[in-house]
Amino acid sequence: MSKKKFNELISKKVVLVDGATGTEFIKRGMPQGVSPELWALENLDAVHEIHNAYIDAGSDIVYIPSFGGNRIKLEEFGLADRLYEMNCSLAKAVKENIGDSALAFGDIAPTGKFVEPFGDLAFEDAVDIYKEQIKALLDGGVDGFAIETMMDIQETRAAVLAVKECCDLPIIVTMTFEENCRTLTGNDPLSALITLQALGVDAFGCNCSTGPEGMIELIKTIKPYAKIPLLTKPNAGMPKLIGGETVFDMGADEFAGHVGGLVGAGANIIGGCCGTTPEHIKAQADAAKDLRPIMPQVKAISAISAPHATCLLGQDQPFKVIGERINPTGKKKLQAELREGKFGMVRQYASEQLAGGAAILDVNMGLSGIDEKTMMLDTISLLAQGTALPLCIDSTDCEVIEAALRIYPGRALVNSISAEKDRLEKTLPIAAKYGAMFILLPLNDEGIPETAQGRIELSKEIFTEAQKYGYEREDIVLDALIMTVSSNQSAAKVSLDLIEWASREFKVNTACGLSNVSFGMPERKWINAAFLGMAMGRGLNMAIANPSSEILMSLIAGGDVLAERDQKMHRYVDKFSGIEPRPKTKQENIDPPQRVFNCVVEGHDDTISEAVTAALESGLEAKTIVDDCLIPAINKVGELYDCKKYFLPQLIMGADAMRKAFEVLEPHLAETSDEQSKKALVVLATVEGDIHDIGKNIVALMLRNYGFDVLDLGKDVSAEKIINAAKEHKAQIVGLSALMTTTMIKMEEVVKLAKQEGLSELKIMIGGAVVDKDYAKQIGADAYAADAMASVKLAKKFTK
Amino acid sequence: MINFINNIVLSVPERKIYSRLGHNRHLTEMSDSQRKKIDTAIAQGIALCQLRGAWGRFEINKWSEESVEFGDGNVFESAKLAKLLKGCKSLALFAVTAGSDIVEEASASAAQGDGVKALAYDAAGSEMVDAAAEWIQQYLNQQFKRNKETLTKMRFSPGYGGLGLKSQAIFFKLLDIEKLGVKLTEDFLMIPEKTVTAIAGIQNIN
Repeated sequence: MSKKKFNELISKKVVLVDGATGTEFIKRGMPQGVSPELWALENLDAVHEIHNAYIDAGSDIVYIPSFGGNRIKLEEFGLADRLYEMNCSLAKAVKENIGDSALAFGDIAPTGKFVEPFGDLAFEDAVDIYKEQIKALLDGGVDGFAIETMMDIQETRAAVLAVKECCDLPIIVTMTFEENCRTLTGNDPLSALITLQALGVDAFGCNCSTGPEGMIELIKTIKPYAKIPLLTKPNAGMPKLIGGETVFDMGADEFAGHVGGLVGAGANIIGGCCGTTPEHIKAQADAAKDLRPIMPQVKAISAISAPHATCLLGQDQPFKVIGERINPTGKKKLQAELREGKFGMVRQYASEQLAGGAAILDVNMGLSGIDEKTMMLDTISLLAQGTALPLCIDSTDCEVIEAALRIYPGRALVNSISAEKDRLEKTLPIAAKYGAMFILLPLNDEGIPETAQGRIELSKEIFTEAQKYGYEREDIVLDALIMTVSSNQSAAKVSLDLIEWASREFKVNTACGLSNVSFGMPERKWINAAFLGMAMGRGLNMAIANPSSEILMSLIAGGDVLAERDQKMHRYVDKFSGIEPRPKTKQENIDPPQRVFNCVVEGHDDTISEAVTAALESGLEAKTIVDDCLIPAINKVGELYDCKKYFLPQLIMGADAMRKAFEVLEPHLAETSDEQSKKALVVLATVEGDIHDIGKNIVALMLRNYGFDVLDLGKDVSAEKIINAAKEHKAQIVGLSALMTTTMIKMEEVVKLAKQEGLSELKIMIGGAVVDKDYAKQIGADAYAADAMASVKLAKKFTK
Repeated sequence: MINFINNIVLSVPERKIYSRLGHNRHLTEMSDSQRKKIDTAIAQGIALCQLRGAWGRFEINKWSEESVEFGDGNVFESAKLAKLLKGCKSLALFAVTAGSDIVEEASASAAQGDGVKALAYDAAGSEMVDAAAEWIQQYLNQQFKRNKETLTKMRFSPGYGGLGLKSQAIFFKLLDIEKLGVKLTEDFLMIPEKTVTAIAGIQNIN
């Protein structure tokens, strides 16, 4: 069946697919633990009976029972060598049985393996595995393909590409979204829709996991962005566990009662999944027969996607910054890292740009002396897992772009396509194959036209060519090609005129490499900011820039308010409401000692130095500040912790603030009020064989903050080493930590060795998740500390 | 067949992270600035976790009240584990890790005197890896349900219920856990420490 005929069918009516197959097989005697595909092949009468019942009920499309017919699944049953025969025979048998009464779609489903970059199955291997099954089904005469019950976008992409590279038949895709509206791997319906419709699927939707009511909202959410029909195959209600068995107990009438809701939300194709029967489909058909489907509302959508997020573009959307930092040009440190095959800075740039407010990350790996393609693929793999932001693939090499687009698990933005012969002839078809948006550069082999009109002509020329590949204006971002004003002061005006034309008349997204405008000028940031404001006024809605520039990001926030791109100004208010400086009078009205006290109790380690300095300047003695402010404050923190009004992080914050205060006071203190404690040394260690040391580290931190000297020997430390250190440094206390039942026994060795060495004055305290007071007693330790605060109290007691 | 996933995406178990830090929802009181500081540290900790996992299915060949033999002659000796696996024809082994960054950064923060970060990173790492183990159970259940099978509700890990740490070596052999960036020490401890291995039974739904 051609895609055209498929679309004609969809436009006429609410199309019905079939209902559950697996449960119908079980009803007809399929035992547990067998390959359903083999059972189907050996029980074709049952298959025909089920399909006939669905077709009689009203199904326009039935699925060939080839769900687990891929090599990986069949291998589980030792049937991989029969893959071709099984898939082809099943398709032929179904086609022969149903004739022209319905369409037969080959059923493609997960392999059970995760595909790179999310798993260890190579992407091309996944494509090949699906192709093998698809070719067999094609030889069996299928009318199209249903890729269903998918839970990972990358595996879905592999299956879609496999179909596309084998034939031109219709492809319908359904993914399984959980109650939180994400697949188990975290893909959301909108980003999946954006990715897959760009890749060329003919219908998208959801199956399994929820009942019909759960799918209505999902369909409603994605309908405004769908340029293809939407499809739902719900279960017969939510699964219930009755007598140890999962049961779907929604009756046919109730199931069909949701048809109006589903079609009203925008579903064009409906059917059923787990627990549904021909009765459910018949009821659906009856309910749908007088309903008119809502056809896709948009012809194109200006959006790119990552596995777990979508970035919507357009004049009605907030201004978007494409983060420019992941580019080795002019960055020696990054170049050196990339040459060593390291990606630490790439990861750091990604996270900094996300935090700075970038909406898209530009990735450019063009650097002499490295394999650009390999580095690009490695970076995409890293970023697909490490950031939520969609990527802009930036390369002049069409091979690099193709490799990147093939593996990128979303809809990317290609940077860039110009009227240069090579780009137009090679890069454009590649971008089209993977459905990528692209940045249009209005230049050709002769260079960049000097006038706005010259660039307009080239823009039109490139777009005309792109239309041949199915591109619409929404799929394009025009780069205004900003040149520096330092060499030609009218350069900015040319770009501004081009932006205005592109935004208002040509109606495409516009972007620019912002900082180019100021190249060679002093204090470039002001030129950049002024140009950005002017360009936003002309319609610029994207910029390739460094989002860590506060001036730039603040200006964009303000511009979005003025251009009505920030609905109710929420984002502007959120951005700036939290950074209003606190009125100084509020602080100044509190007397200095109280401020110091408050800083410790509230854990303000960032402002306590200032508060202590103010207290000293007000004439207070350092010792008075310690005795009257700091010690009462830390005692207050301890009290709040003891009565559980504070929990551990707050206790630590108070102690951190205390330590900061002492850093200021130390030069002023001739003698501390807690001299004895300050001189006491505590040796801390996690015992031999144990590598868990975070608890011990926190104890060390707390003891130091309370004025003890701490010698932290680290983790996996032998009894000999601990006792030797205690002897050598004349420690008064040893603190031991263990987190496992297999290592806590080492604590006893330390206690025994201390006794053997005659260290009768040495106090030993123990702690850790697996020990308690009784164990401390049992091994002869002096005490058990339940937590860091208890350690401090014990240390104080031991050194009194 | 061993399966790997390089990036487990899950809902952040924020409540559990707070509980692990000792937060009591009825008693603990925090100022806005305290909450912001703690939330920020937790968010940074979560960002440092790289959740990866591996799993495999193995047939149980021999069961007794004291031990279970499975796969190619591997044996787990534990009466409690045997009790859990009673009636199961197969078992699932799985491993998850939060990676080394979170552990290294927690230690570095403690060394630099930033206790709040050290604590938050540690709690985030522990709860994220635990949530990842639950994710794998959920994922496997979804895979198995088509065959009318399900995992036992409980999972079992070496170091508990009489199952010695030595059995970690079986996980490393069968699941190729080193591919996840995890190493096993001579004392059978896993590095990085925010790593969980577990066993669950596969039982028929009937």
